[in-house]
Amino acid sequence: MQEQTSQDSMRFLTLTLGKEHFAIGIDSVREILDYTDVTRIPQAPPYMRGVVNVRGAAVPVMDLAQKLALGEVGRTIHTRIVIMEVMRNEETAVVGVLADSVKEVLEIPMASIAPPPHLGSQAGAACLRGIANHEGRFILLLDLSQVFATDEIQDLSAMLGGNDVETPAA
Amino acid sequence: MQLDQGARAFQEEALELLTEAEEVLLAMEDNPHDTGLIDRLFRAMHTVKGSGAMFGFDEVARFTHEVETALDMARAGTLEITHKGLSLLLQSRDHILHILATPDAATSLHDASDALIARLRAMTGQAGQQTTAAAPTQTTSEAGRCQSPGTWWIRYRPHPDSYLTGTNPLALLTELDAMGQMLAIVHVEAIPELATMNPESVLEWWDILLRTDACEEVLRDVFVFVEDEHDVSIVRLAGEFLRQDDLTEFAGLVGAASMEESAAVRAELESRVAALLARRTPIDEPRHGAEEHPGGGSPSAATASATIRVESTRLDRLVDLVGELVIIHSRLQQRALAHEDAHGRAIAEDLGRVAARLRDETLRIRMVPIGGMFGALRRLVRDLSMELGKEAVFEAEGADTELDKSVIDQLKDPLVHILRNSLDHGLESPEVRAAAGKPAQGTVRLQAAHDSGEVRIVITDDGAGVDLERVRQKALEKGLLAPGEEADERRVIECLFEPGFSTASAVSSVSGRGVGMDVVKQSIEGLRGRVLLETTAGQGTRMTIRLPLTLAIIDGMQVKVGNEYYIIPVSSIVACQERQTSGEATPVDTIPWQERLTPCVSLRALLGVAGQRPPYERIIVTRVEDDAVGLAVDVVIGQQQAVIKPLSDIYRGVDFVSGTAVNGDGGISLILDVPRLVRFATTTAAAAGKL
Repeated sequence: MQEQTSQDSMRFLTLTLGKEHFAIGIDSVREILDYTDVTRIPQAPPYMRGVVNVRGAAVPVMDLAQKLALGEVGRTIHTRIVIMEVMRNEETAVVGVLADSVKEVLEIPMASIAPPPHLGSQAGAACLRGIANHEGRFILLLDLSQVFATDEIQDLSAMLGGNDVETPAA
Repeated sequence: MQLDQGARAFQEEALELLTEAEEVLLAMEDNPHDTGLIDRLFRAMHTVKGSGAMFGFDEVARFTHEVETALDMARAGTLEITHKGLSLLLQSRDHILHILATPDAATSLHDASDALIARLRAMTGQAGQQTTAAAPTQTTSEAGRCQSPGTWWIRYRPHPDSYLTGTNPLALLTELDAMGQMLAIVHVEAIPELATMNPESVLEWWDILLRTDACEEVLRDVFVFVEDEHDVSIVRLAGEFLRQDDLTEFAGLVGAASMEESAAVRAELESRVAALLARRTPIDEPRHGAEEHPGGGSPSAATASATIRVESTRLDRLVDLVGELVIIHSRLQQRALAHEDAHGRAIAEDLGRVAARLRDETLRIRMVPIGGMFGALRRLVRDLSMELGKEAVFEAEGADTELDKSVIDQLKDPLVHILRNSLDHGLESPEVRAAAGKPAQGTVRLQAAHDSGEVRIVITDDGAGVDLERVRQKALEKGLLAPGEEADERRVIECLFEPGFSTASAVSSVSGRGVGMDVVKQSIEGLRGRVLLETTAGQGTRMTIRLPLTLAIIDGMQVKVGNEYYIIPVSSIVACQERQTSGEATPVDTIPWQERLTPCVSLRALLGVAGQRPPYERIIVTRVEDDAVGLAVDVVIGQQQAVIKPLSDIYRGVDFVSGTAVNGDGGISLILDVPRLVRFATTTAAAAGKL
């Protein structure tokens, strides 16, 4: 999946978890849904909210904030479910990601993308592809295949200064 | 080699043809002379060779040509296929499959081909020919423009002074040998004793019986330089290849006859040949249904156009679309009801009828007869019994029994494993069997049938049965049974299905690697089926597998707990009850049912459903194996047929949910796997110290 429109920039969909901005490669995004009823699956990790009906298929929905140890995604009019394709066990899987809001599609020049900070053996670091500086704001580029590759919490709270991401009242 | 569409189509076709070839070869075990079967086999190989050459599969074409040659001789009656021959042909067929699977043929593959080719040629009596990749058709057509098969009798007596004129009679014989299959009988009566013999004179002469495609002109050409001085007579016996047995008979005849008796011998030969030909019955009668064997085989020319090959992913998409259609109909119907729209309701009902029929037809397309895998199973039994030194025959019934394609695909491995177990552990060696008064040949039988909405597959063997005592010992060793535990036969057999269990003292290549029956059980349960093992010491073992007809649809009872919807498979439901509630729900308690206290699982408590417990609960009584277990829910909504969608493997840890179904209003119901749910409830309650 080519993500480079030209040689020196890539396109991302930006979303927010609390006050932090994250970006995911636009080519893996299938569609964006409003927060509809998510059917709970019992005995699942707390960051897996359940499944949502997308044209007959039951797509699993993950609370991205919980998975990254950044709090919880609340339920507001801005909350969205981003349906995307990720590589899992050498196959393409359709998964959903819960975010507090979805912003815009950005084209970020490669020059503005720095490698992720080295956090030692933190599990969190593996899910980051890099950090971009766009118009004065830092955006964390996520590798969602990595996020879905492990069942563990990938703790990014340290990197973000230990600030618990504040979410609007659910 | 890049695989383009044509090449891919060839591979698929070749696969079908090779599957048919295997079936025919196995059928030939019992009917080695059946010309119909040999014909089918020849045509299959011929097509594989031709198409292979056309699409650039050179190694396939080269190798298959040799097989085709052998089969050509077989169908002409000049080569008899023995049991060893069948094994060789089966191995050759496997080899072709192997070459197909590796299009960039490596040299090791080439060598393997050559090794098999050498054996094939030994079988057909063409030993000594070159095995390099020369154009395969040269051996028969290089001899000349004319090509007509014939059997010839040649009498050749060289002049005694041949060597002095620089002629080597053996060279002429070698040349004849290269033209086909030669049987040479040497006459040595003219050679005197050693004392008086002149080694430089040629006193022997030959009778040659030759089967060749070359015409008379070409044969005469061999002797063109010598025919003036040497005695050469070339007689055509028949316009086709006679059988090896006949030629051996003739060889005896001519070998005993002197040169002077040639005319008499010729007359005799000719009359015998005439008699042979007259005895033959024509073989171009159409084959009748009685010749068809289970497994279907490939469609005949007449019906080829009536079938069409479809990718199963397309079928899956079709089923999905039909599922969505059914849901939309349901929404339409609800709306018409809500708005009291009589016209709308009528339209919705019509739509519903058509949608239901569409769904039934689509699901029926996915049904495939189980007979398609019988050939592979028969082959397995054959090969395995030979490898293990046992005698076994595979009998199969119910080839027409249809199952969903996805079920059949996943059924193959468990069935193979069960058969392996029967052959490795169940069936005894011929000696042991004879000593026990059983026939030396063991029987492994598979019966498939539809039975009350399910598919039932029963595999029986007449072997020694399962040694329950040994199983019990092993279970104790492995800690699957507690030392003092009372274990009845059922419990012991249960241990057999536990992971890591194996009674094979030496890990054989066949089974006994400790991943045996538990994997079988898991696979079958993964197909929403059940497996049951019964055994009688000394007499045999019976495995019964029950499977739902289709994985795509489930007959389920929809229930509601809190705001969540669940579906319980109707096949596990026995009864429905009610009870008053008080206090908090506990995961497991008991209910009175049929005069016994029966365990009851509260879905609310076990699954952590949010909300208040209602004053009344409904109990769905289910049967798991032989035990009854109640499932307490809030509301029973009703029975429905639901299209199952698998749950993403992200939720693989939630093993008691076997899939999801979409409700009429677009919501999702979770389909419960009752045995696993009960197991989960048991461990949860045990952990909480409540059992």
